[in-house]
This record gives sequence, C-alpha cells and structure tokens, in this order.
Amino acid sequence: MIYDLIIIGGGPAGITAGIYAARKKLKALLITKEWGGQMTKATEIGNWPGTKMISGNDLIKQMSEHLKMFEIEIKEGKEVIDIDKKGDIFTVRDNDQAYEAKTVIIATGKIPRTLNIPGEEEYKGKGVSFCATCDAPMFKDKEVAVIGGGNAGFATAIDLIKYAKKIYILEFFPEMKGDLVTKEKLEKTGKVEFILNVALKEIKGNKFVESLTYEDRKTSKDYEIKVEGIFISIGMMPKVGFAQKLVELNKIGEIVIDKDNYTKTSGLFAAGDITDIKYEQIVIAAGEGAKAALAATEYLKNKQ
Amino acid sequence: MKIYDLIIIGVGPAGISAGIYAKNFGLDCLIIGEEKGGLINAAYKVENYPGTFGVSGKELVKKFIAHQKHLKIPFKKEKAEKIIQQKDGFKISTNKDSHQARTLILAFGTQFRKLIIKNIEKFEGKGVSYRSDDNAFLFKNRSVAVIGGANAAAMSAIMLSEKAKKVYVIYRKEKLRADAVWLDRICKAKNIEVIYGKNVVELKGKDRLEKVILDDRRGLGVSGLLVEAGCVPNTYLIHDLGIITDERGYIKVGKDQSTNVTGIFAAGDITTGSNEFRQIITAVSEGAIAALGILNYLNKK
Repeated sequence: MIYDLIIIGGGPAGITAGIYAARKKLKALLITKEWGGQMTKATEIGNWPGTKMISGNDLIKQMSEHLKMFEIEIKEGKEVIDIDKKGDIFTVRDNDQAYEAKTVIIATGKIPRTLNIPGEEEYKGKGVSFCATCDAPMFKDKEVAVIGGGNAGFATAIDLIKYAKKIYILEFFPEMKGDLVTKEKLEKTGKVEFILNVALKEIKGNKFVESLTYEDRKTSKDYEIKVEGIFISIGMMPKVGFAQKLVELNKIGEIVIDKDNYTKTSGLFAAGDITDIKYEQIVIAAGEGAKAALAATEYLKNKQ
Repeated sequence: MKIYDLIIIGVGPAGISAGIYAKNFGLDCLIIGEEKGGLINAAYKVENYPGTFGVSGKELVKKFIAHQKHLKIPFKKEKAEKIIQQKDGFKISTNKDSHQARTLILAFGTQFRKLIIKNIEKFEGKGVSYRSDDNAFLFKNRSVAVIGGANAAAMSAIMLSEKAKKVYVIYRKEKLRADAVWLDRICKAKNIEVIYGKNVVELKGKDRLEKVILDDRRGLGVSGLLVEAGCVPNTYLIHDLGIITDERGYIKVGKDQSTNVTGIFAAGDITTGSNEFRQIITAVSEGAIAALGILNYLNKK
C-alpha cells in the first residue's frame, strides 16, 4: 500500500499537518517517537492564542486527541531511521518496518544539544539530565552543575534553586550570556557559583554521577568539582541524519525550506523547529504544519 | 499625545495573536478594530484549530477575546480611517480619535466578495446575505440558495439544511472545491441539491426575495440567497502609504511578515503570506511572527 502522505513527528507541526491532511481525506500515516517533544517540558504556556494558560503536557494532549478524532493512521513509539526516494515514491523506515508514500512531511523538531564528552551518555538518567523541570526535585540538598551560562542555563538554575544546596553554572566563554536581571536574582540566593572559560573534560561516577572535570581555558589548569547532578542547557539541535540525502541543511543543521515548506526534493516537505524558520514558537510550528499539509495536498493534486 | 510601541489594526485571529505576543514581550501596544474575531464569526464550525475541536466560529472568537482580556491588552473599538507616516512612527486617525505608534501591524483581513447580479442590492437584508451568521437569515421550512463551492459555501449549506426545507448550492464550476469531509456531508444531506456550472443572473420578488434566475433562464423559488463567493482584501487604508500589494490588493510580505515600509508589518488574510492558504492557524502564526519581527526591529533601534 502506498500512502498519500507520511508525517514524521508528533509535535505541534506534525499534529496540525495530520489534522489538515485528514480533513482533506488523504490516506495519511503519522509516525512519532512521542507526543510533543520539547513542549512537554513547559509548565506554563501563556501564548497559545485562545487558551489563557496551560501546561505543555495538557496542550499536546488536547492536540493529539483532536488528531485522533479524524481518520488517520498513527504509529506511536517509532523512530524513523531512513527516508529514500525512488522515482516518485518515498520509502520511510523505522526500526521494524518500511512504508511507502507519495509525499512526506518532516516535523521532528529539535532535541537538546549534547556535550559529547566521556560519561555523558553513560550517566544519562543517572545524574545527567536535560530537563530541570522534570528532574529538579530529585536533587534536594545536593550539589549540582548547570552547563551553559545563557538564558536557558539560567532558567535551569532557577528551577533548581528550590531544591539544590549549591549550583555551579559553567560557561565556555569569558562571560555569562544570560540576562543580567536573572543573573542578579541567582546571585542573591547565595547558592550559585559562576565559573567562566570552562572546557569540559569528563563526567565521572560510580552508579551515579559523582564529579565533573574541566580545564580552565585561561590558565590551562584542570579542576574537578564534586556534583551529583549535571544539567545540560546549551540549546537545542535538529536531528536530520535520517533524511540527509534528500534535504539541504543550513549552517546549524536545520532543513532549508522555501516559504511554502518545500525542501529541495520534490514531494518532501518540512515544518516547524527542524526547519530554518526564524522563530520557534508552538503556534508558529502549528501554522507551518498546516501550510505543509496544504502544500502536499496541492502537490498531490497537480500530480494526478 | 501618547506614543505606543505598536498599534495593531484589526482584531481577528492575526491581530489578537500579535497582541498576545507583543504584550508578553512587554511592548506597550494597542489593538484597534471594529469586529472582534472578524470573519471567523461567520464560520458555522471550526474543526481545524489544533486542540479545539468542533467549536463554532463565535465560540472560538470568545476564547480569543477572553485571552486578550486576561492579558489586559488594550483594545479600542474604532474604525481606522487614515494612516500618516511621521518622523519615527505613524499617526492613525479613526472615526472617534487619533493615536500614535512607533510601529504598526496591519491585520485587518478581508471582507466578503459581492457579486454583480441584477437587483442584488435591492434585496440585501431582504433575503440576500453575505454572512451565514446573519440573524435575519433564518429560513425554517423554506427553500434557500447558496452561491459558492468552497468550504464556506459547503459549511453554510450544511448549516442551512438543518432548518430549511431545501437548499440549492449554485456553483459556477463543475466540481465543488470544499474539503472532502464537507463534500461527504453534502452528499448525505437529503435536502441539498448542487447545481453545477451555473451562475445566478437576476433576482426577483416584491418586497423580499422570491426567486433567483440562473443563466439558463431557469428560475428557483427561494426566500433566501447566501452569497459565499470568497473574500477580497480590505485595502482602503494603505493606498497613501506606498505599501506594495499584489494585483488583487493583498499586502506583499517577507518571511518575517515585514512589508516594504520600514516599521510596518502585516499578518493574516490581508497578506500574501502562508502560501495564501488563509487559515485561522496560519493567521495566528503570522500574528506571532509579526510581533516577533516588531520586537527585533524596536530592539535594533
């Protein structure tokens, strides 16, 4: 069987694309590892028009329930590992299966950027975290490190203040990049120590994280700090390896699209944070999803 | 006179979304508009605004307004009549007042297209309407006609079929272009008859509409005619500003919703944005993008 459209990703862009595709009665399949992605970490969303305040989890639940009211096939818990195109037909593969489609929308968003140092992968979930909102309470009265001195790092530290005994904020550059107001707020707590010019070396531990080593880039001296938690907040990155053959990427690895969500491969569209759009917001991703689905519908009509 | 950071003209989904974003960024902004919600008010059902299923257009508008009020975004129910470019900003004259701002977002959308049909003006308000939410347009157990073939026409036909005895859908082309889900419902409705490839050329009646005449001279006895012939942009405000539009009058915007005039951004149905799909969700998205663009612009200044 050949689908009209396969949508990859279950965030606001992918779900909205699904709603639009279903209403056009396309034979569509949506494949996603999870619902929501990044937005599930937001506790308070106040800028989804029409809803005064909602958590990311509740909003994504409303959206996925909306999608499921329509006739659309959904594969949850599956990660796409490859897309290929032969003739006019795309083959999309996850770990178990291959599916064929006339058009594809990539809407897999972004994932947290990683440090790529020894110990990071090994201690993920054992002290290494990418989500303070989710994990902060587990570090009550403990010493922790936040990697990244930008606004994301500061927000992470704010989430941790209530729980942690001491917070180190480590920054690669010679100055903190986050807002001064937040920095002052953190300083006032007396719990936070800022460390600049940090080149991270290794995360060490036993069963759980026990320490972090780094080099001071100015003095070239090595240091080790005892911490039980390491929160990585150095931004987000797109993950497009599975589609690399078929798309053009910009400098930071985002998929280049034209204003109508076309990629360089005809029949392949992309929407949301994974693309090179200027602003990353839930509502903008949803708008992009609608545009991509309607563009795919037009593409299919023109092919007939 | 007070100078706002931003004035948003238009209070549909694009304008309200721009207001929500601007307010959250701490911009001192004002929304000016006539009808909260704009054309969505006329939508029988909105089924594609993500996360909100099966509300009427009016119900969705209520949610947008509640959000605007919750954030205390200043709103003035006024009709903007003229925009003048000044040093460092703009002056807007309305039917009641005048206001100044450093930047503008134009989000005043479109209006329903009127058709050239003999006697149509005579029967406007007397059986002829452009809005399915028109309270005067109640046709219990009567026959009515809808002109048009897109989603709005299909939706209105379904809504009318619940009350009317018979609904004619008259479309100039050979195939309706509404979404498949609406076409299914039209097929299933027993009292809807679609007449393809025909135009209405004349209206007849004494005081109120009684009959529509098609271009094959056939007459249909109806007491109501709903014109759903799409929309045209509201352009009266922009003539003197030198804003570039396409040949139909839609404002040309860049990827960031900027117009060719520095300090003026535009969002929603009035623009050429979002591949001209003109959806509620794309209007809302464009409103957010325009507000972010304004924020960047003001920060650079």
